[in-house]
Amino acid sequence: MAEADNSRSDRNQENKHWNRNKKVTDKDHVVRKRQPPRLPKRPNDIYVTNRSNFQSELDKCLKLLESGEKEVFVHGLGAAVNRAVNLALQLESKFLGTVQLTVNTSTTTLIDDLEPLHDQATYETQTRQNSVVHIRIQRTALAGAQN
Amino acid sequence: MASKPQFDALLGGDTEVPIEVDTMRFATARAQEIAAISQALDDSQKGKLIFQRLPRHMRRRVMGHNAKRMPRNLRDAYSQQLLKSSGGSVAKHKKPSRKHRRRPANLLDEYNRRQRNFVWLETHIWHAKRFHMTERWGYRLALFPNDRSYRACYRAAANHCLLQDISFLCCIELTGPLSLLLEGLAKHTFSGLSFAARCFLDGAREGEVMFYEGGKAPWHPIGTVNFFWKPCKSSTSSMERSLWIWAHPAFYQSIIDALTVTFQLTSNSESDELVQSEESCCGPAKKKLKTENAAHKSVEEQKLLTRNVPFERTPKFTSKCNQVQMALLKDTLNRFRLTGPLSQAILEEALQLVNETNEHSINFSDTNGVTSNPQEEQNNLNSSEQCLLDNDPHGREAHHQFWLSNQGLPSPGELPPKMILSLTVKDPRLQIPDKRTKAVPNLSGKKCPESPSLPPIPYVSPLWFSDIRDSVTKSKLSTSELNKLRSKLLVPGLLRTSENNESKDDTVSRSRLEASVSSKIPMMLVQRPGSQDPLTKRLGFGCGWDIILTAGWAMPFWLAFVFRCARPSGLREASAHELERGLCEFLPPDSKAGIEEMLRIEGDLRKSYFRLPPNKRPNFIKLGISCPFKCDWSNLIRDWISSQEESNGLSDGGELPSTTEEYFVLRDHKILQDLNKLIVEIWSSLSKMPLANSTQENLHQKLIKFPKFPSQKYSLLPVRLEAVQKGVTDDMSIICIPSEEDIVKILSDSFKNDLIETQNSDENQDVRQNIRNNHKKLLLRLRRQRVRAKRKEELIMESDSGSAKKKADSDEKHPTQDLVIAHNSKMEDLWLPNTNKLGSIKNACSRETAGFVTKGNFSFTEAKGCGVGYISYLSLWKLLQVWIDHYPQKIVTTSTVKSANVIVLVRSPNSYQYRLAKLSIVD
Repeated sequence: MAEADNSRSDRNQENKHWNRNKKVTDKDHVVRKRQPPRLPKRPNDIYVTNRSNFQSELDKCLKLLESGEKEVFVHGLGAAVNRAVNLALQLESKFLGTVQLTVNTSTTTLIDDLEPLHDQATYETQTRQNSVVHIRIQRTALAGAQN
Repeated sequence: MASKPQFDALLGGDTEVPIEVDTMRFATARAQEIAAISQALDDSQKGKLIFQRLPRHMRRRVMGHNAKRMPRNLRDAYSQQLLKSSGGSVAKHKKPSRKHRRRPANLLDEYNRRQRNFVWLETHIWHAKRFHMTERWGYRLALFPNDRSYRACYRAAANHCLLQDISFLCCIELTGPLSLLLEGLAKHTFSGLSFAARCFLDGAREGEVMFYEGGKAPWHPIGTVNFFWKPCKSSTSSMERSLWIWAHPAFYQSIIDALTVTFQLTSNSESDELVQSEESCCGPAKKKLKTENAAHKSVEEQKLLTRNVPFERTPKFTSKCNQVQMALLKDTLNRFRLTGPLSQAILEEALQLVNETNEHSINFSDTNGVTSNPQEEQNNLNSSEQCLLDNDPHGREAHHQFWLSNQGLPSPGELPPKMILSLTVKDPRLQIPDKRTKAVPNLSGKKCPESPSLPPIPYVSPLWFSDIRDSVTKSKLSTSELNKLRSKLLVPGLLRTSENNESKDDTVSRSRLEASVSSKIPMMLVQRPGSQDPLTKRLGFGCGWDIILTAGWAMPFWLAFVFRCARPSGLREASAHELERGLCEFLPPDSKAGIEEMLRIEGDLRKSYFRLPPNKRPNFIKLGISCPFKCDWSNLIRDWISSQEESNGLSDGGELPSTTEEYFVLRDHKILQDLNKLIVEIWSSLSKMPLANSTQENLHQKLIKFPKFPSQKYSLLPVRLEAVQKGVTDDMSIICIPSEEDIVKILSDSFKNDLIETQNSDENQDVRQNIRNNHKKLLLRLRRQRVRAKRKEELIMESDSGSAKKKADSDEKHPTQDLVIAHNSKMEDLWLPNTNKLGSIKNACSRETAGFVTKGNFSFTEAKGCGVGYISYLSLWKLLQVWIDHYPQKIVTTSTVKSANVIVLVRSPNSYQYRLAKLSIVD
């Protein structure tokens, strides 16, 4: 899953974000982002990112649900929350209301590594909070049940 | 018919034919003819071998080996022929039987003989059965797997686990007072983090630096090396410290040379002699001695005969006042690279920690009690008890605890970047699954792990101690010994039992087995963070672990990983992964190793080009490609410098700048980042609004104000290219600056990819035709010479006049050979464009060439053609100026402009079509 909260904005914005978390920007370090923590991926977990192709994510969900999966979980982090919600809504309209959406929001702690730029500095980390959305898409009418 | 006069007198002719024929007389008169005919008939097989002249029923298979089985009259001629067919030297020894050859000791001897020119990795035999092998950098390495798995390898690296044996990386150990080491090494680094960086000095992380030749930075880089320090608790400048430098074999020797000069190292001659004596021992001269040795030498020892495996054998160097020591650990350590999220799960399953309690130290010296007798073992223990203990149980405990607490992580990318973890594990063969089974992170495992931070205590891995390394190598049970032990289990052979149906007896016998296999293997794990910037690649793409092992243990671990569904890969996959990551090539074009690599590639491409028939060869003169097989950096820089001087009026045109051969790749991260920012800034202000003259002025000012740095005109910029629309860039493609008309076309709404190079005229075409015709005529004239020479050769062959003379004759050249060679090289020159002329690289075609793509292909992560390459620094200014000058003064709505990066043209060497690509600078 890409760390997507400011992946489309430029670096200046990144620094602003950093300030908001009460860390002083310094000239000793460069920010390197660590992969956000997550649970092991089940087959029916879809992690939406801003880099992923929306259509292919949608197809993946459709394929899962049509192949008999009862529920699919769509996760979005930070800036990708919009996409995750959009994906879930698209699915809802595709299935003509035969799916039920359950939305859960939470906050996750992200770790950035501050990589030193010169010999005197050391590695440091900073933590940030970011919002996450978990959408459970559940089929209410199963494909086999109707016939 | 009728007109022909008759012969017989009876029929009107004039010859009387006798009534009877005396057959005897008739035959005698024709005896000569008959003899001639019958001889000719007998000799119908004249062209055949003597053996083939024998009638079938007299032929025997053994005759091929033993000339004495031939009839005596044919024997001499036959043995001469045998001599000829074996190339002048008749095999004196009979080839030993297959059974003999396949005996383990003999087979290993043969293997050791075969790796004398090109070193094999420990996993070589495994790879040779499954991979295309190639000879590179003094090693015989796996190139790509035989199963067609290019895309599967990408998927493995992205989503599963890709495995590569990178034991060819050579390790150099430097030991000495810290201040002295740092002082020396500082001469070899330039800008950014160096060997002296505080974050690496404690030995908790692996560092990466560009190593330069002493004091010449930024010129003359040697190559990128990885390094880590031996951890220590308190660091003072006078303390004795050790450092491991991992160098690529392409430039390993240059690094040794550089270090030898810097620290004034001299080789310890005794150890050299030792090595040599060992080497001669395994040479063919003392074959008898060797076979005697082999009888009581274990298979495991014999496998490592070519390596410097007891530490005494490694080449060592010391400085004059004996302060700095260097040991070359080349080929005595194994390093595997696991890439991809599942590498974590695979390692978790394959590595079984030795769980001694906190107070106990691990004794690495208690080798297996099975093979050695108990008394000997006792002695062994007493003698080396002190030094072979792991002396820091707390540190070990901390590292083991860290590993255990992070079990169930879905990806190693969540761990601190570049961290080093030291673990001590059991023999992986005890846990190997019966069938290949995929290792997946434990779903029912712990919940979201805590944010992992480095283990607090510095811990010196036992791997740092040479005696422990040696004893660990020695303690390895051979597979056959292990199998003997397995056969004694309650359920013979079964190693892994499922937890449900494991009976008590079973556990007892299993634990007994584990006790008897008492090897404890220290290893280091080095984390690789993969992508850390979500703007370029998905976070954590390409993350993984490197593992470092002692000699001898490669195969058990390799198999343990492969049996957990790590996908093995070769050099091709490694470079493809590099391209997917968008990294520049490992061997930079301004280093010696990089130039050698480029020449190798050029040679290959050139050969395959001239193997094609002329009508299948792309005509690079017509295509306007000046150097199709290599990237001619020095001439590119020369052209750009001279064009700049011309425009500034500094020089008067025809004169060449003084240092044409010199160029370097810009590696200062600060400047590269600033350049990237500048490009983004200019491009965004261009695409946002219609340009007024004032803004144009502003942008020009920005370009002028950009800070200068020394010898900037000689620098190359590493760039990344991404196709805007269609098209895949090839290797050696040219990166061009769009002309004014191109810009108008690109920005118009009806752009249809129609930027096409016009065909250049090939002046050499007629010349080639003429030369070819003349050459043909000449050869025809000289035919008689060739025929004569051929006849002479045949005569000599038939006369069977001894091997020595024959050899001398075969060395004699064909009479027209020189002519043909000269003609071919002349033709090859005429086929390719001339690059010596000033401006021949930059102005090879209608658009100006800014640089070259060194590696390009379709990228699976971007779903587009992508490439990496270099452009000349001066050309970047030209590119930006062209865009600013010719950007139309209206709002542009085409989608091509929306990208944040400046657009360039890219053209493959065998096509007229220019493609659009976004250019960004790799920082």
